[in-house]
Amino acid sequence: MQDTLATLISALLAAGLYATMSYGLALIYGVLKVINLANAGVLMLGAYVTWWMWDAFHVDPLLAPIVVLPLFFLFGIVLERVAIRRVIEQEPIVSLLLLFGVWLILQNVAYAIWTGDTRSIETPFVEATFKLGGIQLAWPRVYVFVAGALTLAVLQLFLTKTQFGRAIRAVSQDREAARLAGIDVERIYAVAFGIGIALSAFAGSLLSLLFPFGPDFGGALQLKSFCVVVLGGLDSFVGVAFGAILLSLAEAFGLRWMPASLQNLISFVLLVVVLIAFPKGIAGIIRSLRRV
Amino acid sequence: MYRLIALGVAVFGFLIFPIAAPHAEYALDVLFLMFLYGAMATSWNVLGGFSGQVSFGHAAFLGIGAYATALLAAAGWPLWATFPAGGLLAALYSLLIGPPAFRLRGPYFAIATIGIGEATRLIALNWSSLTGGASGVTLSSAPPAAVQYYVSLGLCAATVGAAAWIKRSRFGYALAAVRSDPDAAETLGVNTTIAKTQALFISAFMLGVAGGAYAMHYLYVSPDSTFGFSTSISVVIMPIIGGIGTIFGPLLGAAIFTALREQLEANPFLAKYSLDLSVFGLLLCGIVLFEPRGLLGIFDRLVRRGAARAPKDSVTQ
Amino acid sequence: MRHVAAALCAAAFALCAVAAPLRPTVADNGPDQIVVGAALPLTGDESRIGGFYKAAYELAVKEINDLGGLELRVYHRKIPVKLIIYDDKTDPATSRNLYERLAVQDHVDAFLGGYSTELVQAQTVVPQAHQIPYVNGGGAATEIYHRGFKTVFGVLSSIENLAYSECDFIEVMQAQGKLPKPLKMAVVWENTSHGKDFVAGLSARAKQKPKNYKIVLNEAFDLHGKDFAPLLQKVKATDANAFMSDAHLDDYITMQRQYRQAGLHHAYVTYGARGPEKAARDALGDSVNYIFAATWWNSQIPNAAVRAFDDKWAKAYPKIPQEWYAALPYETARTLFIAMTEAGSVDKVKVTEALRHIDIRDTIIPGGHIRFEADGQMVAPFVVTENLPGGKVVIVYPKSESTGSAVLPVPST
Repeated sequence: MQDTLATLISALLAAGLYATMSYGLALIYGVLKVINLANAGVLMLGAYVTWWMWDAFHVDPLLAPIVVLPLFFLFGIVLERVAIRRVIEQEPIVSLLLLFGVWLILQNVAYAIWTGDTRSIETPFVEATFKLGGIQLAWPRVYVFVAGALTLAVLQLFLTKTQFGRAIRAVSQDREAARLAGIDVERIYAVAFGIGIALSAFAGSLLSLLFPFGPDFGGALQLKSFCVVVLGGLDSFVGVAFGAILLSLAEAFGLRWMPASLQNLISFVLLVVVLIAFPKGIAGIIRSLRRV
Repeated sequence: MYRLIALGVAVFGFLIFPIAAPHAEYALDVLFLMFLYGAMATSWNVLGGFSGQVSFGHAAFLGIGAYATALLAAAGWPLWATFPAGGLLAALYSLLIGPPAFRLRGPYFAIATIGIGEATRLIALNWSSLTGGASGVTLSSAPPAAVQYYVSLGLCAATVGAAAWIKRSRFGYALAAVRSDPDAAETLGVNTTIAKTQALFISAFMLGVAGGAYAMHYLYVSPDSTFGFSTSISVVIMPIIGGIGTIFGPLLGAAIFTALREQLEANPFLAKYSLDLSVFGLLLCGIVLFEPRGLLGIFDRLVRRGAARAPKDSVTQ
Repeated sequence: MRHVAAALCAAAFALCAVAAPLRPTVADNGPDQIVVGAALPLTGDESRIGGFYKAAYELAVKEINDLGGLELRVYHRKIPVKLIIYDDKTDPATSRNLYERLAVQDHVDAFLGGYSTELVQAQTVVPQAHQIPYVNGGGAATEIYHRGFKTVFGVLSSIENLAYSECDFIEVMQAQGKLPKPLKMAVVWENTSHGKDFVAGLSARAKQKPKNYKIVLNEAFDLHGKDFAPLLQKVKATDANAFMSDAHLDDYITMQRQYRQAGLHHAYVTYGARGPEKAARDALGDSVNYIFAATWWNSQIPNAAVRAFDDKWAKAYPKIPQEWYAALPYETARTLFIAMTEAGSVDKVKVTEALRHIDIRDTIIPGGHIRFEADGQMVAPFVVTENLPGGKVVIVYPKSESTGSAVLPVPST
């Protein structure tokens, strides 16, 4: 019983991590209908900037988001203006390839500035643990979970309660109708992309507390993000949260009887199965159930 | 006229190179790789360029071919027999994963192939009883460098020749229709799923045979080196840079890829900063944004601009 | 358009042909230099250790060149040594390519090996293909030497022997009542030949002496992994009292951190050949205390030769700690140079023969004797160490090399 509870809690914490990594991807896809294959690169750079501020300037990594969020928001806007804008109207594979090229360049930026050596952040917080009812938990993991939950809440509020947020939702539902309604669609694209990039970089900053990383960080995690977003329904944040929980539960309990080295296989299989069988994801299933 | 002579000289030069320059071992090695990559890029292009299905998981087929050669050679098969066997096994694998994957369109297909490539790598890594797992498989000996060179050259020529033949055939036109508008193709009577599956079958077979040549040369195959994502990426980058969907584009991309990688590997300054990533990344972005037909497209534009100017000059004179 | 493409390919080929240097001719009084080459992981996951190997090779070469070079009988003179080192970025395919380049473009007379089993396994096909002598102090898995490669030699004793050494020590501790009998081991190992050797050694000993050992978990993990939480969950679910892991340095650091964070504790903890590294102590602090390791050398081995090496190294590289990552490559290079001297020339066949029959008695490697078995690998004893609080490391086994007694079982925090 204790054992199952420990597995459940561990899965929940992992779900928080997966969800946080995927919000940026979901936003960018929802609004621009672009698959951000450079997500891993942004994650990686978010982690590097956090580490660098800690290593060179002794800035507490928990404070890093203060710099990371605005910095990458700007980067996202610039990237959208310069490159993405030109390919939005074309078939989706074009933007996919473009962002893949961007990912390669981002990796090189990391190699050039920080070399290929593995980096990790080593502070007392990173090692800290506490006990909750007999189960030992690591502070950083709980912190990531809480940060992810807060992010979800803030995002939902932003999208439903603010003018800008509503405009974003309008564009993601029907861009022509939004244009006719007087919304500056191009501006929405830039801002949404910027927010998406900032979210991914923020996730990277959180990840730097948990794992060591190098310039190729994020590749394997990216596939899990795709799985989560597809599971969740491609354009719903609450869906992303549910998708993350589903994936982490599948992994945690699947590992009971399969070798740990096959863990990533679970997300791949889920991804392909869901893409083929349930393209609208969980949100789609719920919607169609409501109709019935 | 001059172009034909240039082509003839090039072909002749490549054919006699090992005999004319017996001590240029290193150049032979580099050319082997160039032709091998040319074959690999052309194989991918049959699916990715001709029929427009961009796959990021093609390393699965290269790996199957490489492992087939390594394992069969260890079991006593002669090397030349292992190549078609590897190709066939890779093609059969494509029949397994093709149909479900082809239910997806465009970017979703691409993402699914990333998953498929990774899953294949994980299977190879963990199915130790068959593949030796992380230890990989070692081949006991390799044919002499000159023989390897001709194998690679022949493979490249055969692959490019097959691609040329496919492109001009009815099947090629069907693939082109699938690429530009699958729904219209269906109304015209083209069974898009079957066409795509056939293209994948051929692509996988060719890449599997190339995998055999890869194993023959490197003598050691391991899950990461053959099934890895970076291998899948290189097989995508080469045709895009050279000219996706063309016959010679992938070969051009392979030549550039080989030359760049070769120069960057040993130069300590460049290697330390892995500048090859930026070069290919920038090329990829540039091509996607400005000239989707790749370098061949750029040359075509220049040639046309030159041709457009010339008659004007002669008229005013 | 297609002709343009063909012409471009021809140009590329012409460039390559022109760029490739011709083989240098060798005069009758011998070559101007002895060229020795290696590819090391100077960046990437193993970069912390790649640096050690580069420093060690350079020190060995400098010592030879300070004396004017290697005395080679056949040429009646001393010839200086030129060392070429490339960075393989901890990537096996790159490593293999670089050794190929060393062979066909730099025309090396012999190879020095790289570091880490996965790289050595990939790179050794090149000395085999070109029949160039190759000596390494960085790959210990038996599989490397079971492929019938006649010019490949290894100074590291096998990981199976490492496992046996640790088991010998465990049995002594069991006899003294400091460890439970049978010792229930949760074995997790990196998914490479290195890890396979480790679990094979433990399994063989467990089968031989079932009263002393019982393996309750046997799981592989991917090299350079980042998230060991699922694996450690599995370990937690067993009733093991010993945690036996086989990992390389970066995985050791990551895994031990996550081990502590998961609240795990066992009476005996080991990471195979990793333990006393200063890099780990810096990264983990007190989390490395009481970890046992079996290594190929330790700077505290109480004999004069080792002390002399410690002094020499401290003088040449005051900032690089004296760990086995320094001593083994140094001895590897020395072995190659002694073989060349005995062969009397740089002739590859003669040097290989000399390596096959080499018998060095003044080495700092435990056992004091460098000699290769028929498969090209050396057999030598290991020293078992334990990390103690305050940054101390004590050698606990074998008795002849020990500098203190073990603290067992691992105290719970």
